[in-house]
Amino acid sequence: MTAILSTALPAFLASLVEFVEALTIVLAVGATRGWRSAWIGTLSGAALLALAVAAFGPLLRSVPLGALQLVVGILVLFFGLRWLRKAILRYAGAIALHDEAKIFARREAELRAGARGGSTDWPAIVTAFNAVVLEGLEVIFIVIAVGATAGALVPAALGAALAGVIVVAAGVGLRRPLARVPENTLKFAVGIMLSAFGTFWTGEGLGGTWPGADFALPALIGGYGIAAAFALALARRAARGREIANRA
Amino acid sequence: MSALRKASAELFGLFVEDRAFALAIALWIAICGALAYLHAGSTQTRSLALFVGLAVILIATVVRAARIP
Repeated sequence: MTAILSTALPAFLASLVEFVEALTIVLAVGATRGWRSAWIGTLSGAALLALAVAAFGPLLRSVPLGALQLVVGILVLFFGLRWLRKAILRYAGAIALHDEAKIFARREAELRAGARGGSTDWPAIVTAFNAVVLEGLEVIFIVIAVGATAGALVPAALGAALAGVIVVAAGVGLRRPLARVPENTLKFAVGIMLSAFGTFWTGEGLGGTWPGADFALPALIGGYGIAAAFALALARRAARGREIANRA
Repeated sequence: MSALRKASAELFGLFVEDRAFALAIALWIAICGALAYLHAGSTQTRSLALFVGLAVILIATVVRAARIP
């Protein structure tokens, strides 16, 4: 019993952190780019992981996680910073917050294009897919590391699976409240979160470490929040100055 | 072939909107990568430098875009 607890509990707690990280990205993609893309990315990532585990099992430990973190980190970073920049400029009034006529025309054009060749939101799918594969691989490493050293792979895997079930249930519960948040607010928050995750993974991919390991993520989110608030204040002043100059 | 080129351009545009912004991010990541290759500074200092540099790039490009009419 003690041996089971000593492997299942650490595997559960460590996996919980990784699952929550993956869930954050999937929820961000779903709430801003549509749940279809989030589901496709998540299910493809989970399917790839399941296949990899079935085919290679413990051999997965030799996957170069650093290289994978670097590629995924850079992609998420470009995606997140681009959104954050645009959301700040919208709040500052430098670009239009919402233009219904333009959006309607664009959506109509997208629907027409979709009728011809399918309008798959690849960046959104790839972002969700990457997060699930990267964090899923980390969960597999945790299970192997905790379970193999203690000779108790099954309790470790059960601990990780329980963490996964809890996080997925939490994600399903969070879907509806997220749908009520205004679009630019959501993009602002998602931009901050994606930028933080991208910076975290890119830093680790470059061989760096973070103070507090995974707990540096909330600090990075806070840091980007402060930077975004500062940029917003400066941009508002610049946009006002531009308006006054235009009137003169 | 033109459809493939158009799709690639659209995909590129979803990650890169402002070229100067994207270039600054790529350059800063390359500089941090070079520092890591040269083992300059501690592993934590390099990670923090990555974040600080990216935050400064974000603020600078936002202000620049807000000033352009």
